[in-house]
Amino acid sequence: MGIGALVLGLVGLIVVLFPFLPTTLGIILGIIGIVLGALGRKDPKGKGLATAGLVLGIIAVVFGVLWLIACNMAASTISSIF
Amino acid sequence: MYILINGKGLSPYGICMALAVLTAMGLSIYRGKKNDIMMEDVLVVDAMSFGFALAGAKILYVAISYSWTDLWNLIKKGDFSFIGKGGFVFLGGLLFGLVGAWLGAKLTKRTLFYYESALLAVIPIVHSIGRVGCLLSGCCYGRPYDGFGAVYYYTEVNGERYVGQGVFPIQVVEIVCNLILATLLIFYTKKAREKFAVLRLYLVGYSFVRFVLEFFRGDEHRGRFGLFYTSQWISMGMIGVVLLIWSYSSYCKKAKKA
Repeated sequence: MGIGALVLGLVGLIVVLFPFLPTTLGIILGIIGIVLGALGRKDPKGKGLATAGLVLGIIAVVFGVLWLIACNMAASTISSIF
Repeated sequence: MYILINGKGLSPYGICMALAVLTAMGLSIYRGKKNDIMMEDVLVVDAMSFGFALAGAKILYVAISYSWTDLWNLIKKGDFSFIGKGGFVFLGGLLFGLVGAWLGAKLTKRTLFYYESALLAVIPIVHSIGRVGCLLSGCCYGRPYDGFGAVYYYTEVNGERYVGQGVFPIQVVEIVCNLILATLLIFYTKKAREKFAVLRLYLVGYSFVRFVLEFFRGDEHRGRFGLFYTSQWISMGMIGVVLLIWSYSSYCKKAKKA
């Protein structure tokens, strides 16, 4: 579960930061990374990996929300102003 | 109002949503600790409810804003940009978010009631942060109004903006109502003896507030059926369902005692 969290959190963050990939997918992967990371932290063996996945998942979700809503809304408005 | 970074605009709506996500996590972990709930369990429920809430809020927004024909034409063309455009409807987020929270509770092998005390009061606080974003972006509208507290927007955010004309500060009023509701929930959580009493208070309280405020929103874009706007019908439906379930469970309890 820890490895799954790390992989999904990392992939989610990459998807969110990469401009040509769908941000929504990054948010979904980030959320799954958070869930797996949180559940994985209960196992002492994989706690480190799970924590890393959890943190990456949280960053992916926050950046994803910021990018998806903030920039898309701004893009449509700024294009209407200019 | 936008923050420009390298020529790209960053909307305050998104910034407030991101802040709301972080605040929700922080506050729910804090309240969870006070109620002896593990941080990991709180995060699972938070993530699941957020994911479902985001989907539900967007689904309801799209359902209200687009006709089925337009939507189907966009999907056939492979144009899914409508997902990233426009706003969200909180009521859709709330209903789907509760489903997500229930699933999250199942994943942690608990019931939704276990998390009620920790998480419920967080919702109206986080909602208020989101509404700050709405105020700064100009969405969620407000009827034309020039009285005390009127808000004036000087750029067009979407086609329904009253540019240069005062509008009712609906977002501010809703922020105040949400904070009052949050305070009531925090106090009531300590006193409530019945299962889901706090959830009941929140759903009925918020639905009532939303029903009244919709008269001041001027949200013609979201549609109206008969006398009431879409959100008012949803609010009335929520109050009805909650009271129905409450009456039924009270009746069952009395029947068991007898």
